[in-house]
Amino acid sequence: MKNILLLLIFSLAIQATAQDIEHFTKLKSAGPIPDFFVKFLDEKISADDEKLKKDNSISNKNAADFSAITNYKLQQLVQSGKVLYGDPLTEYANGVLDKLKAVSEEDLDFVQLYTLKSNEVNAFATHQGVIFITVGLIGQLENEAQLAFILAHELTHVIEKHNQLSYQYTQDLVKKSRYGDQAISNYYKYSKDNEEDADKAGFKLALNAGYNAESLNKTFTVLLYSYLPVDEQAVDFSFIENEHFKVGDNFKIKDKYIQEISAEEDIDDEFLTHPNIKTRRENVSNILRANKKDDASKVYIYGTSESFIALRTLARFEMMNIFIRRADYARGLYHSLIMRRAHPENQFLLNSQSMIWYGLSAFENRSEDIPYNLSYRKQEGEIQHLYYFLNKLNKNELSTLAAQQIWQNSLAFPDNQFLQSLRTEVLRDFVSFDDNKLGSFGTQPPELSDSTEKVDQEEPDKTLSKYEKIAQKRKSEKSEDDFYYSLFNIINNKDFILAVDEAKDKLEKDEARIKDTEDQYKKPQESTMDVPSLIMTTPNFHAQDNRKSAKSNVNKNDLNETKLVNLVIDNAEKLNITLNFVDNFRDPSFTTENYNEFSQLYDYLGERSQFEGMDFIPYNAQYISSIVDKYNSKYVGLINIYTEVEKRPFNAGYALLSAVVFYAFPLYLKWQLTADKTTDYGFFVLNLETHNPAFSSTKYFNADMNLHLQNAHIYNSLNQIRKK
Amino acid sequence: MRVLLLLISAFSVFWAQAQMVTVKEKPSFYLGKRANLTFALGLQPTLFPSKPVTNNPDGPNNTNRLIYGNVKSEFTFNIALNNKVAVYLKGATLRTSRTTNFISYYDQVNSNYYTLREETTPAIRGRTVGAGFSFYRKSRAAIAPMGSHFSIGLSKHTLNISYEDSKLIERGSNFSSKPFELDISDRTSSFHYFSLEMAFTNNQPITQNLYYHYGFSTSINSVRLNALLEDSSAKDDIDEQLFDSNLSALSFRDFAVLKIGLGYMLF
Repeated sequence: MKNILLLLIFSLAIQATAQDIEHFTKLKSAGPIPDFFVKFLDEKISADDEKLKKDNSISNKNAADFSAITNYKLQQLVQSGKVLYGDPLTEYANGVLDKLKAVSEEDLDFVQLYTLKSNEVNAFATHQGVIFITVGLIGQLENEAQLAFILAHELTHVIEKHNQLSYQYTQDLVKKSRYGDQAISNYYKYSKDNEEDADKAGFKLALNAGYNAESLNKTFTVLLYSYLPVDEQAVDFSFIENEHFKVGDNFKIKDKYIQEISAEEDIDDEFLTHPNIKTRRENVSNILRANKKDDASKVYIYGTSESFIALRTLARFEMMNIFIRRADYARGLYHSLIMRRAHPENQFLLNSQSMIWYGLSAFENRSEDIPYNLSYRKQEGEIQHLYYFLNKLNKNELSTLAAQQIWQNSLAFPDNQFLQSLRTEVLRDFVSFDDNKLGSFGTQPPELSDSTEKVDQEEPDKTLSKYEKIAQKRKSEKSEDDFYYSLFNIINNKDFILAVDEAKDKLEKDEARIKDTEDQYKKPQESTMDVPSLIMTTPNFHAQDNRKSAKSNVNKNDLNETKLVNLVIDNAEKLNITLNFVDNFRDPSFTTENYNEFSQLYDYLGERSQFEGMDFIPYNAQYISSIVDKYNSKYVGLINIYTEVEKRPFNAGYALLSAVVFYAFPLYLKWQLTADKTTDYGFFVLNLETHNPAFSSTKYFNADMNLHLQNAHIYNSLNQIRKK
Repeated sequence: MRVLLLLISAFSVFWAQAQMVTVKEKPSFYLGKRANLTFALGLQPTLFPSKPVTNNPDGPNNTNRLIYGNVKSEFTFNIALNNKVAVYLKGATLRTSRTTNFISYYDQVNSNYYTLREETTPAIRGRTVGAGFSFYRKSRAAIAPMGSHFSIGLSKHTLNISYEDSKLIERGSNFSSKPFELDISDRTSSFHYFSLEMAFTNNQPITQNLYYHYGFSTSINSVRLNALLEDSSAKDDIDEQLFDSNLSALSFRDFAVLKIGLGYMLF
């Protein structure tokens, strides 16, 4: 009966995941928010500090700083919005982790696991017992046993206190002022020793839990090739082709330029934190041989093959979101082509692929600062073909293909508002080229147009000069001709023709608006903004006083940030501005719903920050409307205050000069004895409807700002966006 | 997120240029308040002693250059015109005494010279009113009327030196069993002069409304220029000599003043 129930639960879980794939948008956290997320930093530091002082792996002196730094970094990670809890990936990994904890001799109840929204293939553990795995890792793994090995490896780091020991070791090196190559090499060797221990002990732990040795060993192969996409599949260009338009050979990479996959097991790892794969394999080889024929061992203990593959699919879907957030479009496009083979009509994949085309077109046509590199030479494997193709496209061709792709995708989902807005937006780039008149593209099947061309060719103008003939020949070789039929499937669509005309009008209006903006920039006027309600993120207050200990800096930052939030709220009230902090972890009523909301907003902001200086609709904009409605505000405010204080180095020149000019000596003394202080202040408001900045104030000061002065500057910035 | 915010802040300048209408900054003053009142103590050394009356070359010529401290009390009312500039009005009082060693009087008729009886000290009472402008230093994150600022203004000083209970006592006479005393207790020396004051000071908030004030100021007095100087009390020779004896001290009054005080934001 129990088994039937378990089977039922699993099958329901798989069904739920399948449904999730159909309606997938993005992974979200679920369940109660972990205490660890909302606990005050000073409480975490002091509790951790006490614990570390009883630990002989680190000296008391180092423990204070170590605890402050690690808890602060951990808090920053948690408050980055990139951490997932209670989601299917984390839940599954926790299930596997529980199997490992159960067979460990240590009491590991304190160990927690979360998933990080990153496409990097990585996992790490902190000394507090917090293990992070990445979405990219799950997306690459082949089975549960491999996940178990990774988790067992991280558990070993926690059990063996490798982080504490490593910090102590590094501090000892610093104390001895040993910074030479040998010292660095020693540090890496120490790190590799720890990793080797973690491999060996982790392997044994996973074996004890019942996982299959051979499957565990294959984890190293996954890690070796983890820098490649999730699959090696030939690029099929049929997705952009039609019956009359085929991608020409000049857009396809020649075989001789294709780079082989270069990953090797036996690389020089002297200056690497981890041993090479060959060494890692050798370290576990004895254990592997002893356990190779254990028939009772399993690949799946917590889940099943189906549930794991469903989980991995979910991770791979989420990877699309991350590719787009990071504007890693070429990789994202290749990833989506792989995913669409199994899910050809999936709305999420169509949405995200459309977004990639829009992003590529927007960057290439509107921005001079492109965050990605389309050079195929830096890629290996099949993905090179896609990089080569995208790199070969000129701006005009790219905007044409983007228009083609987004229009085709939008026809499949006419009710999808986001796709509708993208298809309008992408035409803006398309019509910005004079060559992109609809008349420049084939509307009739080639038989008709070819015959017309043939007539021309059959009756060559005999009077053409040598140079005219060259010009004609060059013209016929132009790559634009390759795209003559690229819009064939949509060019006769009335909506498309109408939209192109509208895009031209919009472009003219936009150009007029930009000119107005430039004029007003030359002659500033008073603000007409009026923002009665502002969505806010916690001011990012960071002061680094290099004369003081890490602990002192961390404590001060945390305390000031708390005080500053309260002061800012009080002062906003004076201006009748309601501030809605979306990331108020200190608020006891902060829930998972709030956490997901703020995580969503940060995804949006992170994506938008890639597109400085241009109009752009971020992919995450489609999820922002609920936040706008909830807080009844279309503006989000960001504050950044970064202060650095450091001791001035002795300046013999100034000292000598002041001694000569006697009266200048007190001034010199003041200069020399006071610290060098600098502060960067930034207040920034983004309009969540236009996705463009509405207000920005950036200042640089030769001073460290008192808390109340910080507040005064924030008040001043808020005053600029409020019309009295 | 921290990195994200930093990125956004760094890029926001470009965003602003590319897409946003640039606006003139509205003055917000310090948290919406533009006026404050500061009470400060001005600590200043008596850097230079007054000039002895030296018409008797054999007379005492004690040029003891000990530095004596003086304290003046000062109230300053600031009202900000915008986020960078404020106007101030101030009033100050000085109550101190001056060293006695350097006042002497030579009576040419009797060939006697007199010095001030050492146990008596002339009282000095001063009043100052002034006005000027304060320029708040944007580079130091100041926002008027709070933060680091440079002030420049004019002040009018009235200084009364009262010789109450003071007597000039005869020195050097071999013929008199009892030294002859010259009573100057009813005399006063009054000075009216102007000064150009410059100050580098800082208002650092302790709470939202309360702040501490510190800094340094210097003055160029009209006494030094011998202009706009008025002595309202000179009646005879002795007055003139007393007046003269104070001139050099006055010329460097407020030359180097260290200020420490407290202030409050009013409205």
